[in-house]
Amino acid sequence: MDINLKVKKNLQIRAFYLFFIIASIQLGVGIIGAPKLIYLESLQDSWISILIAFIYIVAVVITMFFILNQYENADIYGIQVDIFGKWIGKFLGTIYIVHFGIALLSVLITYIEVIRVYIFPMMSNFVMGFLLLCLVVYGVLGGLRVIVGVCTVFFLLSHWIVFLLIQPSTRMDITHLQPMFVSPISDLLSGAHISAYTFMGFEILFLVYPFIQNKKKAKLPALLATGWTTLFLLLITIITIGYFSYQQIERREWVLLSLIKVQNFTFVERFDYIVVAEWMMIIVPNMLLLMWGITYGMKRLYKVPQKVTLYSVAVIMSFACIYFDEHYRIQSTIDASANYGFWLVYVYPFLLLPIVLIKKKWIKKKEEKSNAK
Amino acid sequence: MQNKSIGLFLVILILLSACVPTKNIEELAVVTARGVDITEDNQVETMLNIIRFDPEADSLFTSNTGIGNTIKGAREEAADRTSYNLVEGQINLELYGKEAAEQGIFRFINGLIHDSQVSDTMKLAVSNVSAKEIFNIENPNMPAVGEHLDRLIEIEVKNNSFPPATIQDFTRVKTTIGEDPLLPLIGLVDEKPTIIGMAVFQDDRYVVDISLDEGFLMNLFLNKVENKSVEMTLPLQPFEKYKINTIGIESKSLEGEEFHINFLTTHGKSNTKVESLEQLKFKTDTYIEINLTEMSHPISIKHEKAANLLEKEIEKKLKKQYEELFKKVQEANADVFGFGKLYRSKTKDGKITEEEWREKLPYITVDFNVDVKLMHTGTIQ
Amino acid sequence: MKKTFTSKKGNIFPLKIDELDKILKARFETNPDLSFTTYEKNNKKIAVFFIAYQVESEKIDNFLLEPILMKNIEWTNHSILNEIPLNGGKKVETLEDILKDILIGAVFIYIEGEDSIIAYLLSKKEKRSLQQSETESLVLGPKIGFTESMVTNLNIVRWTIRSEDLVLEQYLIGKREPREVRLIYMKSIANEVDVNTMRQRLQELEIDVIDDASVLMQYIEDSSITIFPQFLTTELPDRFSYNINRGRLGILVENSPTAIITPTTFFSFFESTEDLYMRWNIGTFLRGLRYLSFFMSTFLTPLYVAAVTFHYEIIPTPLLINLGESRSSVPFPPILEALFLELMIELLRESGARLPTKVGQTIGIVGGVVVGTAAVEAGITSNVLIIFVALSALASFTTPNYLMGTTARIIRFPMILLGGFLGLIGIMFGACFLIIHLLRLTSLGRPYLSPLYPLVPKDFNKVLFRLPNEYQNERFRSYRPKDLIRFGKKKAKNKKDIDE
Repeated sequence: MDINLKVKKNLQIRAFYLFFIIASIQLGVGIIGAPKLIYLESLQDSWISILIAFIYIVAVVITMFFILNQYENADIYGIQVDIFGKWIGKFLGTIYIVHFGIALLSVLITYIEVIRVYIFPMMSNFVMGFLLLCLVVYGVLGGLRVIVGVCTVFFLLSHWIVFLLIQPSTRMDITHLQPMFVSPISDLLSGAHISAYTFMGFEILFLVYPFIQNKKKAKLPALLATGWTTLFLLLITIITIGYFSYQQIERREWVLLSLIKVQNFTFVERFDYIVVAEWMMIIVPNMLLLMWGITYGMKRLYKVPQKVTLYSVAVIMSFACIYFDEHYRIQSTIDASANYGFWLVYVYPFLLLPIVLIKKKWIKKKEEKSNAK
Repeated sequence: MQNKSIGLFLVILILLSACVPTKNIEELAVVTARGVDITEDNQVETMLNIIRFDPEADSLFTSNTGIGNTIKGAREEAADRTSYNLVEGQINLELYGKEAAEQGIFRFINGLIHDSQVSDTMKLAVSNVSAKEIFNIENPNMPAVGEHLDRLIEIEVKNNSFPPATIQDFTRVKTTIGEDPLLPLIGLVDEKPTIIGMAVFQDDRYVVDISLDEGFLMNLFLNKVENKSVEMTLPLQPFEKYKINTIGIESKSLEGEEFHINFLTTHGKSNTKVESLEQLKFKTDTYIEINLTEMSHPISIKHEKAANLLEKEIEKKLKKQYEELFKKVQEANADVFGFGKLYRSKTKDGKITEEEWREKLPYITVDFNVDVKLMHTGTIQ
Repeated sequence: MKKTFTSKKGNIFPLKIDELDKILKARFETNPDLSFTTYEKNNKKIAVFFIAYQVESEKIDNFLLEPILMKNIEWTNHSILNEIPLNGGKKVETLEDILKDILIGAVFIYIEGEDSIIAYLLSKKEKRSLQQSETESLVLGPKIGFTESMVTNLNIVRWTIRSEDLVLEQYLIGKREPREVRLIYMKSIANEVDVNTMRQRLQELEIDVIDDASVLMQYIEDSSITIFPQFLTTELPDRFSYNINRGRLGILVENSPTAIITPTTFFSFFESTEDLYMRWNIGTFLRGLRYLSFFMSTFLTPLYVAAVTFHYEIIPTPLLINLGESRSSVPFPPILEALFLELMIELLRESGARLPTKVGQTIGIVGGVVVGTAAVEAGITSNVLIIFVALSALASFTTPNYLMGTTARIIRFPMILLGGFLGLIGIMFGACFLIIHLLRLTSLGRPYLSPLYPLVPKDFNKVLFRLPNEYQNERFRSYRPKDLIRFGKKKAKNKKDIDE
């Protein structure tokens, strides 16, 4: 396989779309429940945990750019094969594909569970999964350009939800956030660890990078996107902590939806129903990008046509939905996906970077030697 | 090919959609309010106000009762006796009878929080008799007591008479360490359900009640208050100097030791600080701006001195009221003011349990400091 | 490159006049209208032939036959072209071209022995006079509409766009019945890639006959599956020139009053030139109203169905009482009720469109008032739903483009089904599907949802709202015009204090 990709001009995307890509893949179904999980670890100092996580992510993203910039126009699949050779490289690539697959599945089943708890307790998992996968298949068939379009448009169409947080925010109890700076560092770090799960997804950068037109301008939108999601999570977490008491947060699965339940207007009594439905606009781009990552990886590594992978993964996923209908099964899948993803997303790039640099140097020396001869 | 897949998808969609049961509104009996009592054998008895859309019936409103071990069980029992599908997504008010409230209402609320159908803006209230008497199902003149009470509470909250009393507010305050909730207290006045005061809770148990005026003081303490009219009685003696001599008119009403005033609170807020953690000392500054609207005696407040005197007297009175209120709730060991959460927020590690605070509560002292500012006096000076 | 009148296939000339006569007679076997006359002048046989009612016979008599017979000149092709006082003469060589031209009113003169034949286009065409367009109506601005005559239409276009930049490329499309098609654009503004794409599509189109511009449009559109129109159609020269001036391409087809405009975006279907004629703030309001009504006409009834079928919780209690009361006597589930009413409205619309205007109005009143009221009283539908259905029908008619309005009405049906089967989730699914679908569409290779995606914030003031005219100094970036700037921006006014 080719290490470097030649992307046709009409398939390229401008760098600032990276903002929408990364923001939409980071904001997923996890953010509904994340404030609770973070709060349980680091209590009223959760916001510090989130900021720690953000700083770490910035470091990871910069490392990723550093790795990618060592090559002319390569993605992670190509880089791994270049560095570790055909077999190990392909194996590592497969790990990425599996990671995307599990992430896709966990997004799918979590959202279905939210729907079942909030709107239709009798909804069949299969039907809902099938519907969502229909959207995914239809979107992915349009190619990366359409996927990026979906990210952009849905991003713009779904962020009105922020306005629903105004009412709870006016009724926050500041004492819930006090006393500040009491959680020990270990708790803060484990809170940051949990925030990191929510922020996962930006590893897609490793894949879309070759498609970017003006690569020099790519860093800023990518970092802005992580900043945006951090801000979003920070806002939700602070309002949640201020609005609810410890016991309430502890007992609630999806605190964001509980926050929104407080709203009512003269024309709509309950906003949580609308927000659960609207959340589809947030998870569809998410799933589209993950699915694209899978199909594209299969094509790169094993030369399987994207359409074949797309249809077969969709079929497998929709049947997998039937199996994951129990809360604890869903929970353990999500945990597995998070644990395994953590190493891949947050640790692996730091290991990869020195190897890439060493290899580059080695090649350079070799070239110098051969030139000298 | 695209055509085919879209067609296929539509067919499957329609085939599979049978999985979601419908809730057509004309087939529902929508519960709008519920009264909860505890029977002698510790079962839950519920009174339901229901809307159902029966074209044959005269009125949309009807009521029903049910008994069970849990609220849901009682609903099931009630549902057995109606031909409609009984649903709870529109309950606006839940009223707890005296006994139920004294035993603790968290067991009922727990079920409501669990159910995603239930609205979080639902209001809670306590009655000083049993809920059954308030709902008085047999009375055909009042088919929708719940509706009526819901509106009453809504208006009073809007008028800043007392703090909001939704299920969300209640659970929040209840579960906050170092704060106890308040709920409106419903009683029968001339056979009609009316708000007669506020019920003070210790944790989730109704322990003591306070008057509506005190409810306002609570609201002033906890929230920002705007546009609330207040009546107050002040001693007449200090104002002797400013009395306007109404020659010729010797009305009996002008005699006596006290006089009444009415003012509009245009702006009011409180700020509480912990003075000393060890000595459990707190200090509250309450600031209100008022517009004088009525006085029972002709007193001239043309002079700034007179106005200052009036302010002073009102301050004194409010301070006294606050102190009495605090004493009352402190005796009941209920911390509706939320001093405990302030205390917790000022401690170093922020870790204090509910029990620890309960032990400390009787020993705290609070310095209520009221600052009244007379802004306008209307057309009379 | 162009298919012109003189493409060389096989020169049948020179030949004897008798032979020519025979060939033509053989082709026009059953056609008695071919007039074939042979004159003899200076020992040279001259044949003149045409189809009688297709040409202006006065012109033939006065300017063609008279000089030929009167003037004492040795007639050759060269001298005819020089001496006959008619313009537009040209040489034709193949039989195909002769047949093609004779049908649209050419007169042919053949001088025996010459190796080509001379043709003059003296077509006579019956046409209707200029009228107001029936399908599109404006309150402000020019109201004249295109007609079926290409010449008239070109004449109007030339008068509205008086620029030497204007290019009117000519194509003949249709194997069996070739029809004249004009590709119109501004040379210095229109994007060259777009022009080339369009040229290619027109040239490569293989078809026996195009019935109308709308048919041609369906053949050259990007996607034939979708329900959304990808090219704009208009009967208003006003709208046509507005678009041409902004760098888009226009297509006129002989015998069709409809002009095609391309490339378009989803949003351009909601643009009306009236927005320009109004002040910018009013224009913004009107445009916003149109987007709102598209949204309403697509989602209002489905939302009602979803709320009433599944989500009684989201309806506020007072409204719930109203809805419940009006629903209580209806024997059908909400979804059937809604479909029934929607169908009724569509019937009304269709019958109104098929009948003459006066009868159509009556139908509207009878259907709307009588049937509607009766349906409620008979307890078949609820009165609240009638309001929703009527509102969404009204809303769908605010779209300035008839094709888009129809689309909005049609997509409501699957939406109602989704809402009725899966509630809010179904509607959301439908909305997501719709948006993904729109994102996948292109118009002449340009993204359909531009400037939303690709995101071009500088175009928002032309699409979503309007700004005062001095800020509208750029053309649509989304269409990548050659020349972006319409006029130089005014210099910023000096800041002035009050009373200076």
